[in-house]
Amino acid sequence: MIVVKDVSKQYGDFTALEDISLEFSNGLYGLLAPNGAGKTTLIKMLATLISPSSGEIQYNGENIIAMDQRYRELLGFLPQQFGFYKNYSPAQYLLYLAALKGIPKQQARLKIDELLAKVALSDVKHKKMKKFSGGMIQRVGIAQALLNDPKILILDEPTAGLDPKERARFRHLLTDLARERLVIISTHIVSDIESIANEIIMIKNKRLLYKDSVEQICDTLHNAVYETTVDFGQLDEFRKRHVLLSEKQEYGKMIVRFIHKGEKKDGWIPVQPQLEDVFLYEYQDEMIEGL
Amino acid sequence: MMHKEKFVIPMPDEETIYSQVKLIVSQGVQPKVSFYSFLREMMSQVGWRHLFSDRLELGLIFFIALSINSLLFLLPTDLNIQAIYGAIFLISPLVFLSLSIYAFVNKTENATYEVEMACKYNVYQIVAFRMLVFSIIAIVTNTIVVSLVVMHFPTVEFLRAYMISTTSLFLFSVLFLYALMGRHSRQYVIGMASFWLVANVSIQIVDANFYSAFLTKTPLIVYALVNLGCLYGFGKSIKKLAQFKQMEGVLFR
Repeated sequence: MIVVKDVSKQYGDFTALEDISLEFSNGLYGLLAPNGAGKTTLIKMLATLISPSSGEIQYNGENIIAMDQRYRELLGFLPQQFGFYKNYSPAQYLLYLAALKGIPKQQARLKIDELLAKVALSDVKHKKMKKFSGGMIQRVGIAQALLNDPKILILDEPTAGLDPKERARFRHLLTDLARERLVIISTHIVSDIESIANEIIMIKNKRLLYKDSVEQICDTLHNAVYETTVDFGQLDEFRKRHVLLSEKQEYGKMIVRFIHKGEKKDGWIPVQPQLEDVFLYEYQDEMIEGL
Repeated sequence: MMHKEKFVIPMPDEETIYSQVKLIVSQGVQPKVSFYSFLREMMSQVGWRHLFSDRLELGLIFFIALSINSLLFLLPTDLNIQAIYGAIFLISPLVFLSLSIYAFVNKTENATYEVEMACKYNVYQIVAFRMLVFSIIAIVTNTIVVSLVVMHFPTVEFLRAYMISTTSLFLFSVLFLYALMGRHSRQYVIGMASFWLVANVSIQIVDANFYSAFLTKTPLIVYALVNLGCLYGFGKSIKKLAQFKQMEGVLFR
């Protein structure tokens, strides 16, 4: 079990994370927040790439920084920017990383073949990676994270560059993996984790906002998400008054999905809140700033 | 009669007992691994091929070692003996410096940094191992060069030249590693290396007699003692680099 205890991270005067406390046991956790919210900082601390400025992270009661190699032996990690040597083939690169992970050569070769088949790269295992597409590189990244059969798997934006078919295949793979290990996925794409995560963690203003199941988080907007039809002429006014989640054109009118936390009006149809609704609602300011 | 007050200590739950027992056992029973055993294990698990995985790097090591040491043979044959000792003192750490800086920057600035940092043997451990090997390469090449210099300049004493060369190498290496880890700054390391070169050349120019007297008159036993001290400091620094823990991102930014 991983316990994050009152962890904060400062870079000079800038605070990246403040007083984060979390607990992880086996299962799949989705770390969901817009870009720049501090997801990668937390992920890097969990992967021991950086240390907390205050607080500590423990694995089974031991500080992970003090565990050093013993912790990294349990870890599989895919960083946001997966770097590789351009002149290496996937097989060569994985063999190199397997050596750094202390896996015996024979065992590594078998594991590499198995993993490359899993990520559908067996056919190109001896081709140089400089010719690979973004999705193929990402799949090599996923394979390397699984080389040592990790007890803790941490993936930072793992679906970047994957096409819809690859994303679906990746979700199946993660569901299988999370049965017997701890998997933490950081993403800003709700659909990546909505259907597979046991719990969702959301960070806002550098602090923990939610750590709960999808259902519980969606319940925070119970009776607050509606759909209604709006004339084109009224749309701008409607946008100003409500938090709009989506809008689509139909038969010359606009069907809008929005959040309203006050009294319901006639013509508004209450709908089941989705995780995407909570995400858009909670991060509406960040979204506007980001535009 | 005295009243004995009883403290009420709540019994921890099963999970707390389990995790605390595990913690005590794991920390108490943890075997102390010596640095030498650590290096040996790393070598056997990772292997030479992967510790020096880059063929370009191997080519560069050979080229740098050869070209830096060839500098000594550019000196005129009628040069006085003190100037030759001065040149040996100045040039001896350059092989180590260039190889180490290349290895360090190549590993820490590479896009593969984060992936490699999360492995059992991380970037700093690999770099520490490489620096250790580079120091051995530097000793070997320096020995060869000193031998050739003695043949080329018959007035040069082998033992003194060798002592000057190794003292310079280890003195510089300790300062280099201190700058690298103590200051965490690229500018500081570049400044330190530049200071070494500029200070040596300047003293030679400003007061050549003092410089040469210092190198030629210092008893060999003093060289040997300084050498031992620096060797010890070098070993400690390499060990510290291998155990380096990240606080504020990457070292040497």
